[in-house]
Amino acid sequence: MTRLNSKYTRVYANGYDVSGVATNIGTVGVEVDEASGAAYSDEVVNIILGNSSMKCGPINAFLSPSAATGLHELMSAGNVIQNIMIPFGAVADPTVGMPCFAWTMQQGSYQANGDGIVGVTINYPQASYSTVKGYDNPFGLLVHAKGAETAANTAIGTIDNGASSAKGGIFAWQLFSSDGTCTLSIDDSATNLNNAAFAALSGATSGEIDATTTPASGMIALAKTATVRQYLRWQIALNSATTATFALAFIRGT
Amino acid sequence: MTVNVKFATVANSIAALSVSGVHMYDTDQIPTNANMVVPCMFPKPNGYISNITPTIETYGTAGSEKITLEYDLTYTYCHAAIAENLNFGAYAGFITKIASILVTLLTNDAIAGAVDIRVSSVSDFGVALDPAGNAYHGCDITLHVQEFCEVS
Repeated sequence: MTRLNSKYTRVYANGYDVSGVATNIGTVGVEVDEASGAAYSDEVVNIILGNSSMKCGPINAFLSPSAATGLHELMSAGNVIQNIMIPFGAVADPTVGMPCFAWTMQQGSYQANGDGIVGVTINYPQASYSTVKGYDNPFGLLVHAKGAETAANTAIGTIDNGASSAKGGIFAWQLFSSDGTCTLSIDDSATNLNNAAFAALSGATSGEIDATTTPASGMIALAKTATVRQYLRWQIALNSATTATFALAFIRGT
Repeated sequence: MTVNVKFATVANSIAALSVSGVHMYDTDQIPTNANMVVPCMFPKPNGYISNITPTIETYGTAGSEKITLEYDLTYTYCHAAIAENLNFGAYAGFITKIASILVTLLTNDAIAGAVDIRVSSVSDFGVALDPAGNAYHGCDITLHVQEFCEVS
């Protein structure tokens, strides 16, 4: 195992690949702390005492002069709830099995500055967004690297956890583009013998989505006691779409 | 853990890059006389590898530590013999080819053997000599290479 190399870090947000304009991702990860004076139901802080608090950013990026390039269109409104996925690579673009940060964050600011280059700083208040409450780890593995698929996956699994687990997990997906509707999901299996050994992991599905005009993304938390078998693989059901470009990650519950 | 230094792999990868109309040479192919092969780019025999800087990145000994190795590789580009046409007729083509070479190098920053490779400088722009001492419209192109020594 070599080292991760920032050159190959990629930044996805709400189905947009903003890697080409992002210059820095700040710090992503988790802290376990106690919030003083915050209510359990506080939508911004949203920290449960003694539980994990996710941190992401600030992401620094070039200020895109055209809305069509993605980042400005996505983030300029500020205060947008975003599905962030940041896969890491070592000596090549992130591939299946590489570590990946994925979490739903609430954007706190979008600030332009002209210090040297015209750039933007995007802050995310340290928070664990409520849809994934109960999980305390934002790091998982990339199950499908960003790329196009035109057919369902019949290959054996590429993620081996070494054993089954019964602590649920989080399925994160980014659909960058498609020419119709499709459904992204995760299959699991107790063995890695063949295609027939795999079955859909209950709950780990995007539902029918369409990125013909606007990218799509999501983060689905399984029940905290859900069984996830040893091997995982990506899956797609092409409904009206014939091709879809996407990235998938899975955070196994711990 | 094995420590690798991949000069040969990197040089081979650079030689394998494709620039239209330019002969790219590996370290075992350096032409002694470039007259018949211009335009060409070859490892500069005198000063090919320079600024070798190993950086120890982690704890460990005897190769178990992670080491980042950085160095520069200098190539000579010979475009056309000077005064071949008794004018500067080849000069515009020289500029165009340098641009093509730079585009190729800038879009191939992940070649085999290197974690990162970047154009460091283009120097001595004007007259370049082949190993036989013949003069050409040309220049030196220096590339900065980064390797992770644990990567084979």
